[in-house]
Amino acid sequence: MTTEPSVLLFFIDGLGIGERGPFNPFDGLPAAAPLAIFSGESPERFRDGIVVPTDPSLGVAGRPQSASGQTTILTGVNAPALVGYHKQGFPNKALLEIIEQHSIFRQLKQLGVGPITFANAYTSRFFSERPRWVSATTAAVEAAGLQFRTVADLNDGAALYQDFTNQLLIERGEDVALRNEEEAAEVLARLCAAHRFTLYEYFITDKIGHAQDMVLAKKVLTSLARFLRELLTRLDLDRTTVILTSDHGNIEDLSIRNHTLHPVPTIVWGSKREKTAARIHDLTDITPAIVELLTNIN
Amino acid sequence: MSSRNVIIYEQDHHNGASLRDLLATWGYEAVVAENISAALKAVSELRPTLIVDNTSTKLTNDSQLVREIRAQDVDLPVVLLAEPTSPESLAQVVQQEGVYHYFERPLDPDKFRLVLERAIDLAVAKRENELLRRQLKDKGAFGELVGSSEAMRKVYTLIEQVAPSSASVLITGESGTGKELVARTIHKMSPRKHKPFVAINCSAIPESLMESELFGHEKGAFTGAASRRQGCFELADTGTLLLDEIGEMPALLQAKLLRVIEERAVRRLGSRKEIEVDVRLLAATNRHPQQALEEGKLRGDLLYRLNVFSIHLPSLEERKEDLSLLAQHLVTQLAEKHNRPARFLSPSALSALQFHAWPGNVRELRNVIERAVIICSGEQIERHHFAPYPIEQRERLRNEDTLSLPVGTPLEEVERQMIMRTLQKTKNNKTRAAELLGISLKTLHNKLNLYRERGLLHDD
Repeated sequence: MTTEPSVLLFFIDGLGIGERGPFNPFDGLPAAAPLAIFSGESPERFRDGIVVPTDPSLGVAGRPQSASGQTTILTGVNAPALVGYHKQGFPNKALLEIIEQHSIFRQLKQLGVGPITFANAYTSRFFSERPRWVSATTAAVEAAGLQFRTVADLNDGAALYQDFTNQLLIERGEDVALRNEEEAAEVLARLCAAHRFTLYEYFITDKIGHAQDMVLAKKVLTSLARFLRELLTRLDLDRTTVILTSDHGNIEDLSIRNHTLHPVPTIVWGSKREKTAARIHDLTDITPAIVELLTNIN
Repeated sequence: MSSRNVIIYEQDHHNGASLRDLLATWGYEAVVAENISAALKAVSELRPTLIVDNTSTKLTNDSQLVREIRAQDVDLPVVLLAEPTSPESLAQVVQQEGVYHYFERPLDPDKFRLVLERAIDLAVAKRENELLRRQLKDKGAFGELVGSSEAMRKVYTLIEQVAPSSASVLITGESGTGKELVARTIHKMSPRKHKPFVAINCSAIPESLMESELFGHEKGAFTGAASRRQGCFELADTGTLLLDEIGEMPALLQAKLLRVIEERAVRRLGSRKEIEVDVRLLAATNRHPQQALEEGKLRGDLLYRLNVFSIHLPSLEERKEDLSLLAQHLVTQLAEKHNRPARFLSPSALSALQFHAWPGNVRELRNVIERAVIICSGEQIERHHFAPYPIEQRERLRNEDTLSLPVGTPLEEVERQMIMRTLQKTKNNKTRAAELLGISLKTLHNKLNLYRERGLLHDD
């Protein structure tokens, strides 16, 4: 266990700050703090987290998308401006080159900040039938030469699947046990305690947003919010700064199938939350803020 | 050179010694000079921060002393201790010779001590400002603010003017221009520099907690107030408080803030007791103050109180001439911070930076340079250490730095067009154009003469 300052980047795909209304699954959802954030309202705080409404558009017209948004979060480079549009799905060659050269993992390795890790587990199928297109996070882990966590690690309590309950893994035939929110939080808190930088990625939110499934949205958001609260009570927030962010809005407005144009919430927890929150304006500021936290020891 | 060096001008040996002993108990290192020439010698050798003139039986002597001191050190404060005399003669010495303060005997030690402290603070601030002016001349920097453009020089002048006072200052400018740095510089150059500097970002504090952050609270004032807490005003007492993003402060709280400014006292949440505070208030916003007023984001009466003095920071686009200085400064600073080998930028890397519009201002530039410093493994940061050009930048480059010719254009014509385009880029600087084209200056002149002969080039 390291005692030096550490950071957890908690990435949630497709979570924006929307207005209240019948199409926003957060509206009226009990126990949805700290994720239930509404446009123009002061959010309910949990463990003094500071919410920074963050611009995912980055000066480029159109609806913000995953590949360019995630590349921006993971590198600090304005990826949509670079390619001239918001790139959907998986990163293309231009974005992959950026990730390879500039990812937060690469930067921290160059600076000698470690240990660092990606908390998500990959199934054996990923290694045997390597997909042609990979996500920004996968590309970043590979380019930095980090080790992927596996289902075996997950079973050893040293990794989480993006669906932290393991339900999806079980449906895909993996031999894993179901986890509740407390158990999943325990695993992630342990990984954070052992590393100086930990990335965790969750993207069921985006899938539900596209599916426009209100019932499932409420269920998943309740569980995700609980996981987050359990995690925050287990972390040493004097040592660990938690930065939660998203690449674009989606699940907060189920009236449309597409991503929204809403700002995304960046929520910062920890003893350095105010200074960190003050320097974040758009998604390009996430990586520099992490570098700052991990290199400015005092 | 200590900032607590004092010279006492006193012709009477015993009086001088007892005054010296008094000052020593207050932590001053005092030297007694018993005549004008000894006093002047001490000024030049010891570089004191203050003169205490205790010999005022004849004020003409004092006038002469102060005048001669001014010739050596124009900013050295002089405190005069005088026998009761006609107010007119004292006023004349004070006004004409620029005496910092005078006392009539018998001396009130508490007031005397307070005046000495303030005079010393002012003298130190003036000396440091002089150092900053020299730094600006030598390195193009003013404290932590970097840039020697006309726009930034105006900012430095305004900072110098306002720093020594206690006036409120409204700092405006786009996000990322360095408003907090300006606030810190004002604090560092003010007599309050050794007192606290507290900054609060109004956009980062939830509305429900902002009042408690600003004014503090008593135990049990609200749910979760487990213990008494001092607010920012109390923490900044005798020092400086920066209210960043003031335009994001809720209207109700703006009214309470106004009351605190006017009454110079705060009341913690849950308390009836007023606590007096002496705080210099600085405020910053990226909104246009008048527009914020019209949109109801800022109260008019509060703006009036904060906007006693205003400083507007230019965007990086408005001071593009500072970019290379700033970039090099950041490379040095960040390489040292991260213990990386990068020392300087290659010309192509610098030119890449020049092409960008920098909507995020210095903050964006800092982020880009920091990434390059981290990634670069050698001493020189190259173009490829930055991310590729954004697409609109590539368009600009295409228009400015490229030449498009149809396939099959005769080589002689390709050569001519390339030469003319390069001359256009170098603003007709033939030496530079020849360098870029990789030919000698003589060859370039020969080719231009040829074009002239063929009627393909007109010197007008």
